[in-house]
Order: sequence, then C-alpha cells, then structure tokens
Amino acid sequence: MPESAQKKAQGNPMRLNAQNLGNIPSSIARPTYDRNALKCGIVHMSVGGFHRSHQALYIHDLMQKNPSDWMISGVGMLPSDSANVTAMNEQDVLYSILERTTNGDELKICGGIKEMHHAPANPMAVVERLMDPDVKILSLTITEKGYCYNQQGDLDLTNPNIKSDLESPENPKTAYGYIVNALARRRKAGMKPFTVMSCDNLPGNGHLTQKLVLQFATQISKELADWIKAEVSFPNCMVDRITPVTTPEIVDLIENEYGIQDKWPVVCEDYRQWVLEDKFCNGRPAFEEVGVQLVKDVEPYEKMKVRLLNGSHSALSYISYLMGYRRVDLAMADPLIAKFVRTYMDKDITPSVPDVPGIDLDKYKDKLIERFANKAIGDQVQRLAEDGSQKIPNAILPCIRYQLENGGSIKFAALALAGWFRYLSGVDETNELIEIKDPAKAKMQDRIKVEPKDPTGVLGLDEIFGDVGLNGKLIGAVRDALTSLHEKGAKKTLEEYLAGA
Amino acid sequence: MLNAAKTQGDPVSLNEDNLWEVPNVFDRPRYLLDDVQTSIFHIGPSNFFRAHLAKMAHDIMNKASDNNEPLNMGIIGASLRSPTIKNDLMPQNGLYCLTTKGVGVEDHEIIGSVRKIICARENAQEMITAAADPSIKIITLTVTQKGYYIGKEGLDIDHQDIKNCLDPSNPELSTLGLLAHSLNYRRLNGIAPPVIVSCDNLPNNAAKLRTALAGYAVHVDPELPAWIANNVPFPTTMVDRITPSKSENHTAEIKALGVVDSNPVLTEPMPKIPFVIEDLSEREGPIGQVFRDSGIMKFADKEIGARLSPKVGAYEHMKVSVLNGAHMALGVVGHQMGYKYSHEAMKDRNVREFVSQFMDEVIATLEPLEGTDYNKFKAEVIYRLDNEFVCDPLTRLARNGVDKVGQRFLETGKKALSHNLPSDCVNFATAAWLQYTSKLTDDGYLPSQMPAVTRQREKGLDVDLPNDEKGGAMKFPALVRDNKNAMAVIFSETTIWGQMGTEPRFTERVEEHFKDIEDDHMPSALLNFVNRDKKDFDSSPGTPSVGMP
Repeated sequence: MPESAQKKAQGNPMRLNAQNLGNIPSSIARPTYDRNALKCGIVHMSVGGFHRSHQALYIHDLMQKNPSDWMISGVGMLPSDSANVTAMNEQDVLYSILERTTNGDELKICGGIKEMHHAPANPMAVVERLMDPDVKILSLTITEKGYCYNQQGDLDLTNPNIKSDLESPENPKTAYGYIVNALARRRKAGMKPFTVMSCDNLPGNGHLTQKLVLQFATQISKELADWIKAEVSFPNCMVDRITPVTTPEIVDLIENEYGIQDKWPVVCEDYRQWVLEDKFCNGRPAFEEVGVQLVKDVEPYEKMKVRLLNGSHSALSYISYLMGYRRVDLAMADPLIAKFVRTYMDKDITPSVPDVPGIDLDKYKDKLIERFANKAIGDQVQRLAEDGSQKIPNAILPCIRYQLENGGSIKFAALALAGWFRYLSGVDETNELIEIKDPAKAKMQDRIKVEPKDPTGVLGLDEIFGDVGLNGKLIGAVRDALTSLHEKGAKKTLEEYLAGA
Repeated sequence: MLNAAKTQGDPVSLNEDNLWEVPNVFDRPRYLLDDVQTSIFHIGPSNFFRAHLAKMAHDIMNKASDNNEPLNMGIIGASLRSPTIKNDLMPQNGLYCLTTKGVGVEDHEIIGSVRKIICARENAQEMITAAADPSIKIITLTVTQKGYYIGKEGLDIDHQDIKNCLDPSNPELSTLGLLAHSLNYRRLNGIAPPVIVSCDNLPNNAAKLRTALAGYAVHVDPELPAWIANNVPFPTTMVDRITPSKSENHTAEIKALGVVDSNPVLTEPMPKIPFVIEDLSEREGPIGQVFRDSGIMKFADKEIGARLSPKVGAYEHMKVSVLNGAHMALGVVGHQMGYKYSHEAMKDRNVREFVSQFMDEVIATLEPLEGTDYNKFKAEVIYRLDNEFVCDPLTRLARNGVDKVGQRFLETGKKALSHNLPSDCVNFATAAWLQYTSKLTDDGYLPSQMPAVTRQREKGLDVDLPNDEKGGAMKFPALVRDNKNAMAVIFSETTIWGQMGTEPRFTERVEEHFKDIEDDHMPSALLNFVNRDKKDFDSSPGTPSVGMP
C-alpha cells in the first residue's frame, strides 16, 4: 500500500472515544455534530458490520449536513453480541469505518449510533426504549433466519423462540416479541406507532415483515393486529454494501496505520446503495439529502440486486471453497470462476431481472464483478457460504422457477446448487473437514450423506425447495453437476461447463 | 365337523377354521380375526413385508387385544402383477407361518394381520377404490427400486410400464398409477388423505417416491400434485430384516411340524432397529395432522420395534456403512479365504477379527445418534453374520461392488481421513475387493458361477445380474486384470473413486495391500493385516495361526 507510509501514525496509538476525538489526525473524518444534544429517532435491532457500514453511515452523513433528532439507538439481539455491545459502549459508541478500494483505503469515524443496548441482558429495557415518543422508526438487520418464517412465507409457529415469545411476552427473544410488545403498549397508551423498516435481503422485505408481524400479533389479539395493519408502515427497501467480517488483522491495521485503537471497527467497499420506499407513518430523516434513492416501487431494484449480487455470491462461494479459495477476490482472480459468475449472471439470472429505471444491466453486472474482485477488502468465501438454506431460496430459486417456466437455461444455477450440496457433504476435495454454518445443516446432511451424488433426497426438502425441488429438469441438471463435482472435481467441472459458453 | 376325520399326527391345513388345531409349537394370534379392521393398504406383499411390517402390525394387534383396545391394524395386500401370493394366501384366510431362526433361536408364529390380498391384473379399478377407501389411513410399499420408476430427471416417463399405465385403454396398473388415481379419488370426494410410507430399502425412499409421483400425478389431474404436496405426508424410512426368498425345505419343515402352509416365510431374528420412520408429527397443517391421525405412530413402540426420528438418514448411513460395509468386506475377503457362506467364513478367527476391526473403524467415523449404541449394533451384526439359517453366499455379499464401494467403503475412508482416524481396514477391504474383481468375468460373475448363470439363461429365466443397469461398469474387471502393476490406471476410473483416486493417503495404502494379497495370497496377507499392531508377532511363513494371543 503506497499511501500507508503517509498515514503511519505518529506517537502512541490512542483509544477511540469522545474525549480523544479532537486529537486524532486531521486526515481522518469524524463527527463534527454534537452527538449528546441529538435524540435517537431510530432503534436498530442487530447492530452488525453491515448496519454500521450502511444505515448508520447514512445517518452520520445526514447529521454532518443537517443535525436532527434521528440518531440511532442500537440493540444487540443475540447473547453472543454481548462483547461487541460492551466494546462499543467503552468507546462512547464511536467506531471507525475502513473503506477499501484497489486505489487505497479511507478511514472515517462514524457517530451515527448514539447508544448501545444488549437485549438478552435486559429485554424489558429495550421494550421501554421503544416507548420513547422520540423513537419513530424501528429498523432491522436480523438476517434471514431472524425472521423465523417457513417455506410458505408464513411465521413458523413451531419455532421454539416464537413459541416462547407468545407464551412469555415479558421475556422476548425474537424481533417480533419486542416489536409487537412495544406496539401494543403504544396503542394502549394512545401513542403513535413507529415505522418498522426491514433492511435485510428478503424479497419484498417490508411486505414480508408486515405479514409476519401481523401473523404474530394475530396470535395475541385480532384487534391489535388490525390496529398494526391500519397504523404501522413497513417500507420496502433494497440495501447494498459488501461488508466482510471484521478480523483481528483489521483491528491491528487500524492501530498500526492510523494510530487508533478501535475494538470493533468495520471494513467495507467504497460502493453503497440504498433504495427505499417512501412510506413512513411517523416521519423520517431527510434521507434524500445523503444519497438514499426514495422511490415508489422498490421491487425491480431489489430483484436486480438480490438475484444478481446475492445469487452470484452464493453460487461462487461453494465452487470457490471446493477449489481451495478462502478469499473472494482470489477466487475471482481465477478466470474460470470469473467466467462462471458472469455466465451464470447472463444466462440463468438476467432473464428474470425486470427493467430497472435508470440502470444499464450490463454495466451493473460489470460493476458487480469489479466489486467481487476488490482485493483491498478481501471478502471471506466462508461468510458467503454460510446459511445457504436461508439465502438460496430468496436469491437463486426464484430465478430457477422463472427459467423453468420460460424454458430458459438452468445449467449454471444447477451447478451452483450442486456446489452447495457437494460442500454440505462436509469434506472438501483433499479430504479436509469443512466447517458448515447453517440452521438446516443437519436436515440437509441427513439426506445428502447417504447418497452424495443423487440430489433427489435433498431437493425433496419442501421447506427449503418447495415444488421446484420436484421438478425433473432441475433434478436431472443438478444430478449431472453433482456427479461431475464428485467424480471430476470442481475445476474440471467448471472447465467442461464453460467450454461452450 | 370339518376336521372330524383327521387323525392325530396329520398336518393341519392353515386357515381360519383350523387355527385352533395348529400345534402349540406355533404361536397363534391372540386376537380374533373377525374383529380386525383394516387400515393399512400395502403395495407389494413380499416376503420381506410379511417378516417386517405385517409382523409388527400383528404384534400391535396382539397387544391391543391384551389391553382391550381396537383391533384396527389389519392389512390389505395389493399385488400389481402376480396373483401367486393371493392364490397362496387367500385360501388360508391370509394366515401364514413366520419362522424366525438365529443362533440359539427358533420360533414359529402364525401371523394374522394380512386380512385380504387383491391383484391388480384381475381388477385394477377395484384396487384403486380399495386404496381410496376412507378406512385406509396408511399406504405402505415394498415394490423395490424398480417400482418407483425414477429416471435421471425424476419420473421415468418413457418407461413402458408408465406408458401403459397412462394409456386409458390399457388396464396395466403401476405403483404410481395406483397411488395417483386413488389419491385423486380422495381429493375429488373429500376423503382425508393417507400417510404414504415407502418401506423399500433405498436411501431417501420417500423423496424418491414423492418426486416420481409428482411427475405422474400431473398427468392424472393438473391440480393433483399441489394437493398431494400440501396434504399427504411421506415419511422417509429405514428398514432392516434379512428375509430370504421362499424355500421348499422350509415349507416341508413346517409341514413336519404339523401345518400345511403353501407359502411360509423364514427370516432372521428381528434386529434391534428394524424400522425407523421420519417423525412428521410436529409438522404444521394437514401433513402433521394426517401423520398423527394415521396410526403409523403405533409402530413406534419399544415392544413393536420401530422408532420415530428426524434423522432417518443417519440410521440409513449406519446400516449401509456398518452392516452393508461389513457384508461386502466379509464377502470379498471370505471368498478369497476359500469359504462359501457368511456363517462359514465367520468361523475363521482371522476373518472374524478383520470384520470386527473393520466395523470399529467405521463406527469411529459416525456421529452420535440418540438412543443408539453403535457397539451394540456391531455385536448384533456379528450375530447376524453368524446365522447359518440365512445362509448368505459370500458371492452375493460381494456383488455389485462397482456401484457399492463408494457408499460402503469410500465414504468411511474420506470421513476417517478428514478426522485423522485410522482407515486401514477400509484400505485393505478395498484392495481385497479389487483382487476379487480381477477374478470376475466381463459378465460380472466368478468363472465358477458361469455354468449356473448360463443354465438360467438357457431356461429363459431372469438372472439376477450384477450391475444390470450399468453395462459400462462391467469393463472394470478387465481393467483391473490388465493393470495389476499399474494401479494409477485403475484409480483413474473416476466414476468409482471420485476424488479418492487422487488421494495418496488412500491409493498408496490400497496398492500396498493389493500387492500383499497378490504375492502372499489372502490367508497370509489377512493374518499379517489383522495382527499389524502386534509388535512381537512372527509373520514368517510356516507359522500362521500359531502362537496367536
């Protein structure tokens, strides 16, 4: 990194906190607004890397430009979030964002989040926080599995946490437990509700969240559900920014290169996008001032993004892992994988992507490939491969369904699924163990391990694949790809698949 | 009196009227046959079915009778093609004798759960109506893999049976046609759906049936596949009980004991885990409801033998890797030791030790499975291999290796390597299989089997062909024969080895064992192998089996 020498910190590194904010090098942007004077208008559930590189930065940008009472109150939802909540609080809820491009890095200090809570430590304190009339939006990045829905897209009432939240509302565990509890209290108190804004990669995230919240509320009271339906807005949105997991190396780099001790920084690409439906029942920040696209219909943007970006991400992750790659940029530097991704996009995804106003799809795909290949951020293959059972039904299966109905190609999508199933066998091509993270791991492996080359069993899991899994054309195409992966290996298989493409 | 003229000592013809004259060496139903209601419709009333599901339904009713509970687990057997079983059993009012023989075990029992047998060739429509009857809550199948008509892309639509079945002018009913038409009848007439339970010895049996049926159902009615998907539970199952085909000796033996039964069944003692059914009782909506209401959960009782589990695949994997793996290891090693049958080979202490070590190696790679002690399972496998009454030829245990070596040996080998566990028994068994394979003709038989095969063919009889669906794989014996000194060529056959063919930790060891067996012959190679960890073991020629601890 040629610039690193200039950035090299002088003297002892300093801990990131409000007191030290004035002392950090002037080349590093930091909040210049009075964070203490501004109120929280947003409560955000599940503060992870993505929220901090995306929504919290948009809010930060807005505060820089036009300070207002729209700061974020962050909530860690899982027991394992405890350490990160503590780390954030110890540094006055400030954190650094390292934006990395091949042309160099840029570090900035983000102040968009004002406070942090750990929900499992005191669930009712979070419900109380939601009763503050200044809180007008509740936003979510709880990932697919946080929504607890089944293959029909309905709330999974057999989920133990959902059961628990319905039985003991005073000790919520899921987002629904908090949301519905707080909304019920607001209704009782004659207060205005808050907008519920999902920022997860789900098809029609606002619509789906509304449906699931209403199904949860219906279990408690029909009147409550009717009130939520009438009074609460659930805007749809499309969010985009590649944000890898923060590794210890990044913590060290920020200390060594910039002289800042930050226990939990965030690293991301320089690209970001947020397309948001303008539907807020209790006011909203002036998002349009900081580059958020406010539109009437988010669906085409979301389909384009989830199918092309998230679909390719999943597809490339398994094949890359099998070929021995652990970093996305290194995988994309392999011409076979780069060609696979582009061919998969062009032949199997693009036909089902609708026209998107103002977007040239070819350029969008070029940009995606460039983003995937970003050496500076070095995204983790493993991160993309996690939770396939939650991601693939949204990102890949809708394209397969479309292609089957329209007689289009599913060859590369089938190879993507086969790569996933091969990966789920748990042992890689050199007989090393694969560590797999997925809530459906046991269920899928139970069907794959007894018949590694035949996908009929695993595709028959209707809670994941629905009727698409019974389609003979898909079964045949996946069987071919899976057999080839087992017999010839990933590299040879890719070569053969791409030979005519 | 019908039997007044019968003199003492004359065998009794088995039927309902004579049931109480059956000698006491035979256990009889403890329930009254007239009181039995049928709720199970079974397609393919094979010997295995009669030793397995029908026996368990019989036990459920014995227990129900003791507890004054309803007797509603009667079975209607449906034979799609051959009327033989119907013609044999209907004059006996569905009764038959089930003989169980094992080391130290000999039982004879009259089974009463099969109340009726019908044959589709005689009346297809009657069969569809019977399967759609509201009293039928469970439809079970043992039709073998062929009865599923699974092709490369789901349903094998080009199969002649399927073409026949889809042709309204042709009354030939297939498994899928029977299921689809009876389900459609239920759908159109508002009859609750049944649970459909595949009891065929196939991994993911339910998914295969469900996929093929979905492909067929759309031709019966475009609305039918969605109705099936939303309403009909298809639990995956694992089944296990070795049941040889009919033997005239057995029929004569039963007659000598005092009963004339035209079609008795001989089987091994019931394994500890004969039947695992995927638990769908927690499913939301109609699937869970139908499953819970069907009565299938009555099989999941310690005294009956089945268990419910969400992990049927893990049981299947245990059976394939431990039991079937041991079968194949015993087959290829035992045959080269000069033995003919499983129980004979198991009397050889080195063979026995090898089979035991092999299973230990497999078990070490298995993930824990609730309620299952793998060592007890292993002990039971040894007990079963010792069973002379099953009289399994080693050539049967060793056959179809080209198809089976992957699941039976290589999966264990991969798992062991990834966990740094020992895998040398798998390597040795693989080498022994290659040696065995090199002795096969291009037909996939040993030369000594060929005269019998030729005789069968000349008579126009079906020959149980090894690898009959994989013509190309038969080239493998020749490949092994011609490349005994160039193992790399053998390992380049990726359809068999996959990536294990390029795994030196596997190929090098297999090659060493292959050479040992080639040079020293099996008895000596095996002796050295099973004693490989004993430091002071003298492996010099002339002293085998002497001084063994």
